[in-house]
Amino acid sequence: MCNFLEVKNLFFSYGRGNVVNDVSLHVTPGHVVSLLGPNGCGKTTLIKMVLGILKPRSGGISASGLDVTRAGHRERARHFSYVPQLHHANVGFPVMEMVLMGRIAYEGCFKPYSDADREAAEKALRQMNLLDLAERSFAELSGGQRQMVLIARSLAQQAPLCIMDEPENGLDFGNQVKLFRLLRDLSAGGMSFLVTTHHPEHALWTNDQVVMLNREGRVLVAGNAGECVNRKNLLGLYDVDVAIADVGGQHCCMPLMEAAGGAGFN
Amino acid sequence: MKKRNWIIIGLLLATLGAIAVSSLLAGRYSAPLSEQLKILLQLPVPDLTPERREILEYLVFTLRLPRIIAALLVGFALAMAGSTFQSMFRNPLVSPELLGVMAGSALGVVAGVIFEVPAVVVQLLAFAFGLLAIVTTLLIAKLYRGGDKLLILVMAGIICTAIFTSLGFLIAYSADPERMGVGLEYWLDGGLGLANRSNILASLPLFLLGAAGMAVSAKAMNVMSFGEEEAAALGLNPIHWRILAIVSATLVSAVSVTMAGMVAWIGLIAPHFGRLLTGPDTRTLLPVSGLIGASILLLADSASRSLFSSTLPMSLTISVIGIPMFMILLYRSKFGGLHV
Repeated sequence: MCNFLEVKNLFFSYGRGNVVNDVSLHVTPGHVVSLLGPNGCGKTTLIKMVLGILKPRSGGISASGLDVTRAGHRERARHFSYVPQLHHANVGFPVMEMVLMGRIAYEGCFKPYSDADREAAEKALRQMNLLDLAERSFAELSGGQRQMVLIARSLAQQAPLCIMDEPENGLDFGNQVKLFRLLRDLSAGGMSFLVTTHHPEHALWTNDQVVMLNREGRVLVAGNAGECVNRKNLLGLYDVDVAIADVGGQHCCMPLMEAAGGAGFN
Repeated sequence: MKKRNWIIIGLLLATLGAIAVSSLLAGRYSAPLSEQLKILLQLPVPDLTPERREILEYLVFTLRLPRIIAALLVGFALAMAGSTFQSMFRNPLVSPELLGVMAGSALGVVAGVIFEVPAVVVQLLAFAFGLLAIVTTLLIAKLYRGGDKLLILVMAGIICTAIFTSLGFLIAYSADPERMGVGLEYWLDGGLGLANRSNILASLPLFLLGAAGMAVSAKAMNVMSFGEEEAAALGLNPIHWRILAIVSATLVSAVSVTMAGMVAWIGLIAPHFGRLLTGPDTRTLLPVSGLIGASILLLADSASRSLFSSTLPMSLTISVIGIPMFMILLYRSKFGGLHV
């Protein structure tokens, strides 16, 4: 079976020096891949290339066999969806209308939304338990609700892979946990996720795969979160000492506040 | 569309119709509305001498009706263009006027009039210079990275407007004054005095073309209100749609200028008013703001013709109506919360 996303030897530079340096990664069906890395490691650039907003200097990106760098936006949108960072855009569209926008890739912009579109949107809202909010204005929702609506929109897009850019950003602790439970449940149903995050802890929550990008934009390590999220790798990645503990069978990652090293922000 | 929105559109249509009919009465020559309406509908009017009938026909068909139709077209077009620009730039502070498009088009028109080119070429010049102006504004805005993007775009538009207006003055003053015909101030202040059957018919196809371009972009504009990145990820090509929407909005703005000069305020306030009534959905906003724009312009033109014995410049009456309206809208939306 084809990988939902396959990134091969990707390079990118905004001028001098590569921001993304020979990055390869893949997302297999039914898995959550967490993308970890310090600020400025090229995570966002990488995502932008996958979304077709930036052209890679060299390297290939394919999704379920589709050459992403050559595909049109509509075709690409049927292969994967995107959940942006929680935005505070005061866009006053009703929630239902927001979720319907996930269907643009199917009927295009010239036609009005079809019955199939409405059914898919409703299904996504039901799946996310948001039907009660369908008529509410997006601008009036709380951060957590907004993020859920954006995820519902990506579900309505019915793409096998969903790319999320720091989805936990701006969510309270409870909503963060709920979010990662949701990812776990959806991936059990066969969907895949590529999730950028600043929290190694979250990669452990998913108990799935992780890719770590270092400051030079290279893959430091990739593999099982349980194995890769360890003291040595995190020290290399963030210049911070951590302890990994096992609590009731679940790995936890704790920064050591009193440890030496890491003076000054990076 | 929701039932509520249909009702709002119905009410706006009724209001516009009432304003249109009553504006037949605006002007120095007074004739009863009933007589004018009968003439308009080609109904027989009893006790009417042939001479008076001729005068009334001239009044209705040559003087007042073209002006009303022109006001409807220009008001509708500028409001649609304003809605489109505001959606496209995700900026509640822009309009065809503030982006410099109208100043650019006015330069095209003034140049065309001075060099006595055919009407089609004047339209073409207005369109070309309108496009040039918006490109100029965007390039100026690009010079300033960082800072408040919304304000920088507006500032760039002000600079661009100043450039094109100065060029207009330069051309006008270097040319033979007799060639200007109505004079530079007609184009700079805006007015409907030049509206007639032939220029309405010549503009109509272009208005319709631009309106169609904006209408088909409406769904895409909704998606693009979340930014290019999200729009691309949802499956549309943001650059294609942006070009289509902006070119369409520039086209109708340019044609408006060839007909009525630089009509101020409408393109800025009508979209805000529309959004307050029916929300940000561009598919509803385009017709709703259009009806509002047409109503405001018609009202302003009627006022400028009937308040004093001489016709006031339209920029004056529009400002009297537009500025308080805009201030109330700003206050109500507390500025920062202005939705696009």
